[in-house]
Amino acid sequence: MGIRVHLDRVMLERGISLTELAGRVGITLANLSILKSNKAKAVRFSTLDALCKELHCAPGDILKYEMRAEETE
Amino acid sequence: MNLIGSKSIASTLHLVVKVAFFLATAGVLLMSIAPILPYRSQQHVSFVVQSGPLDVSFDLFRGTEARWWIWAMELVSRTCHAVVLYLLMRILEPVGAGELFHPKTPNRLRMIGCAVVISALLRTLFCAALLNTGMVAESGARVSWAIDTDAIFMGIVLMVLGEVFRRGYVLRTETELTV
Repeated sequence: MGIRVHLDRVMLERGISLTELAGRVGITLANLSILKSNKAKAVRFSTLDALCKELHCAPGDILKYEMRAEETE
Repeated sequence: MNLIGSKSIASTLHLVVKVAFFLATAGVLLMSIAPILPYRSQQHVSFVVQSGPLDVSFDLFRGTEARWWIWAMELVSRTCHAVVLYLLMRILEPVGAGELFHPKTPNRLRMIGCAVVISALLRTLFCAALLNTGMVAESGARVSWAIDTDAIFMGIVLMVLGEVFRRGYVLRTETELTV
């Protein structure tokens, strides 16, 4: 998928751990780990809203669109 | 009692189908070695074939030449039956463990559907061939050829169900990976 999740980078900038963020946002550690490792197929608006609220960022800071190799050729 | 999961109807059914599969396999093995059994044992080898267009009660070593045709067809039919039971057993295994949408279930359902349709078609072709060659089963036997539409319909329904389960598995995977 061309959409990449840069949650790890934002978390590093804010100095927050995955366990702490999971507790604050109210989603399981397993689900947050799926999101962080780019394995998620879909993200709910409510999850994105909670993440942006806790990390004080915009959805665009977490989600980025990256061109695939075949698209750039 | 729950429908799926451990100690459920599905797990009990899995056990029942497992026993039925082993019995069916033993039946197929016994039937396949029937022609090479010693003469004394041969006197007691008799089968009742009542399925689809065929309704025959015959003794393997006392009938006419047609008995071998019927024996061969029944062997193929019972093998298909054992294969269906095996696949059903494998489908019920994850359901009994609580996993309804297993990735291999759609293929197994499709294979059951194919086995049912092929078995019905083979039976019809066999009966047609039997009548065409002029072979006559022993007295009391009734051989007529007709397409077993019920079995074919059932096979198609199973294939459609396989597709339903495939979509179900895709949807479940997507739901699981929605954060």
